[in-house]
Amino acid sequence: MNLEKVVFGFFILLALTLNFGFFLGDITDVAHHNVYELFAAIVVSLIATALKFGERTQIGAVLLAASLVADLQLIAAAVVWTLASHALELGLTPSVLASIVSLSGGALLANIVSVTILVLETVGLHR
Amino acid sequence: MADPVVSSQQGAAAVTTERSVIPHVLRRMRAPLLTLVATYAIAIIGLVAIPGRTPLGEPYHLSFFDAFYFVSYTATTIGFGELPYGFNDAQRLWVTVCIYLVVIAWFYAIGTIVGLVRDERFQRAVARNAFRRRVRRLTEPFYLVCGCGDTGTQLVAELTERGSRAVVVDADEARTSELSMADLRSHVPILCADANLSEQLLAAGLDHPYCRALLAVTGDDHTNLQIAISAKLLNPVLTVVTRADNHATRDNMASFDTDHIVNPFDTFAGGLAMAIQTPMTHRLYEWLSAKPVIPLTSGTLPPRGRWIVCGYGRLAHAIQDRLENIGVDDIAVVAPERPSGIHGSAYIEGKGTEPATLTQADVEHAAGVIAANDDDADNLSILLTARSLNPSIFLVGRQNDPANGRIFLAAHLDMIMEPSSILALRIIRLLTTPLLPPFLRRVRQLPDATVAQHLSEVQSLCRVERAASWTLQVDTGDMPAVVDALAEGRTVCVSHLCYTAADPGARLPVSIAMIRRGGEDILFPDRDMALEDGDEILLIGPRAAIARVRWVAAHDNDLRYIITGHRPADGALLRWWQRRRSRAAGPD
Repeated sequence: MNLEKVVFGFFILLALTLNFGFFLGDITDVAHHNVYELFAAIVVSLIATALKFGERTQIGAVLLAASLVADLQLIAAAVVWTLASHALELGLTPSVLASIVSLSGGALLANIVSVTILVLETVGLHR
Repeated sequence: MADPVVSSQQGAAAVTTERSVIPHVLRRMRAPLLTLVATYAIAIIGLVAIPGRTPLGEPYHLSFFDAFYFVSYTATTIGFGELPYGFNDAQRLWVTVCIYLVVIAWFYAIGTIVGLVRDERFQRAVARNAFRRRVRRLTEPFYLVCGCGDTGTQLVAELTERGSRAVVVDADEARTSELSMADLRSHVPILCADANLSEQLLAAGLDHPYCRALLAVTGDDHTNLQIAISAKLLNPVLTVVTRADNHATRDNMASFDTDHIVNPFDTFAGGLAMAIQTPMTHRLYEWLSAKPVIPLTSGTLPPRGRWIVCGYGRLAHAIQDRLENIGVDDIAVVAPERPSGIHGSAYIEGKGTEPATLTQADVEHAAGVIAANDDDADNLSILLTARSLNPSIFLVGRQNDPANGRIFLAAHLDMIMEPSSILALRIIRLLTTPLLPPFLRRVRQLPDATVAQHLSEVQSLCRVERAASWTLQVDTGDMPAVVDALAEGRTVCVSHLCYTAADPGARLPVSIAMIRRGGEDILFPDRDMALEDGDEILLIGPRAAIARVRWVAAHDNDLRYIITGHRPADGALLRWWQRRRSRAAGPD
C-alpha cells in the first residue's frame, strides 16, 4: 500500500462527499445547506488541488483542471453567500440560496469527473 | 549589446528539451500551499466556533467572512486589530495560537518562493527556456557559432559588425560569460552547453528556417567532427563550416560532405608558399581585403633560399610540405627530438632559443626563420636571437595567444601567424564573398606577370589602399532593376554597372573581377559582355563605389537612364502617358 496514494484518494473522495452533502436537499431551504459544510468543502477541495500540483502525466493534468473548476465554483458560491449576507444585506433569500447551491452543484460535477478519472486510472493500473 | 549567459548542466538533465518550469514550481510549492490551506482552515474554524459578545453584551459568532478577513491580515502581519468587535479572552487565546500558526505558514510559503527564484538550477532552466524562445523567434538570417574561444569570439564580432546575427553555443562558462560582456552590435543569444549534444544544437536553431550556416570552431577536433555530423544528419541542406586541425579529421569531415573545412596551418602554409612563389598574386590577395587572412607585417616579401623551421608540429609539417611543393627544399628543422621522416643534416637538435643551435643551422646564410612552437615566449626568443645573428633574415612567428598581439607587433616581424584570426577571417571570407575564393583560385593559375598587370590596372582604377569585394547575383533580391530590364528584352552590359545616373560621364572606381555563369567562371569579363539572369558577379573596389553599383542595380530609373540615356517616367500614369505619346509620334 502506498500512503501517498491513500492520502491523494482520500482528499479527492472527501471533496466529492462534502460537496455532495452540501448540495443535497431542497435548493431554496436554508436548513438543508450548512455553511460549515461549504467551508469544509472549499478547504478540502483546495487541499486536493495542491496535491495534484506538479503532475507531469496527461491524467494528472486533467485531474488538476477538474479540481481547479471545483475550486472556482465553490469559491464563487462562498462569494455569493458573503455578498448576500454581508455586503448587500439581502439575507439568504430563496433565490440567493438557489444560486449558491447550483454553483456547488457545478463543483459536484467536476468532483465526480475527478473521482471517475481516479477510478479509471486505478483500474487501468491493474490490467 | 550582449545577452545573459544561459547555462545548462551536461548529461541527462541537459538532454530533456522544452521543459516548462511551471510543473517544477508547482511541485515545490505543494507543501507550503497545503500548510497554508490547513492552517488557515484551522484558524478560521476556531474563530467562527468560539462565541463572542458585542459591546452591548449580546452573544455573536464571527461569520466565515469576518474570520477569513481577520486571518488574512493577521497572517500577513498587517494587523488591523480586533474586528468587528473587541475579542474576549477565549477568542484572544485562540488568536494567539493562530498568529504563530498562520504567520509561520505564510513565511514558509514566501521562503520557498524566494528560495526557488534564487535556486541556480531554476534560474538556469528559466534562462535556457528564454534562450530557446529568443532563437525560435529570430526572423532574420543568422549564423550558429559553436565554440567561442579566440576564433569564435572574433567570428561573432566580425559577423555582427557586418550586420549579420549570430547564435553562440559553448560549454565553457567563463568564455560564454566573457562574450556576453562584449560590446557587440546586435543581440547575440548565448547558450552555455555542450555542443556535442545534438539537443543543444537544435535548441540553438540548427533546424531554424533562418539558420544560414553552422560554424564549428571549437578548439577540439573531435567536438567539431561531432557537430558537423549532427548538423549534416539533422539539417542536410545547411552549410557547415568546420575547423579541423588534423588531416585525419579533415578527411573524415570531407567524407560526409562538410561544405568548408578550414585548417589554420594549411591556410597559412599555403599563403606563405604563394607569397614566395608568386608575390604579385599575394599582393592581390592582400589588397583585396580590409583584413587580409595572412598579412605581411613588413613591406618585404618572403624570399627563396634556405629556411629554418623551429619546433616541429602541425604548422611546421604543413609549411615543409608546401615549401617542398614549390621547390624550396633546403629546409632545416630545429627541434628537441628528431621527427620521423627527417634525415641527416636537415635536423638540428635543440630549441632554437640559444644562438649555438641557430648557428649550427647556418642562420647566417638562411633566407628566413619560422618559429612554429606553441609557446609564444619561445617563439619570440628564437626570432630575436635569429635577427641578432642575421639582421636581414625574414622572420615568421606563430602567435598562439591573441593577448600577445602587442608584443608580436613590437617585435617587428615580417609575418605573424595567428591561428585564431586566420580561421575567423577565412571563414568570414567564405561566408560573405563566396565568389572570392574561386576567383583567387583562378588567379593563382595565371602567371605572376599577368596577375601583376591585372593588379596594377585594378589598383589604378580603384585608387585605394585596400579594396573591398562584394558578390552580387542577378536575381530579384540583389539586382531587381537588372532583372526587370532583362525581362523587357534590354541588354545590360558589364559596363552599365560601372556608372551612376548622377554623373554618367565618370566611371565608378570598381572592377568587375569575375562572373560565374552556370558553373563557369569568367575572369575579368569584357566590358561589353551582356549579363544574364542568374549570373553571379564579383565586384572589387572601394566600399562606397560598390554601394553605388548596388544602388543602380536595384533602381529602375537610374539603370534605364544609364542604358538608354533617357529618363523614364515615374509612376504608372506617367508611363502610360509616355507610351501614348510615343505611339502618337509614330515609329522612328
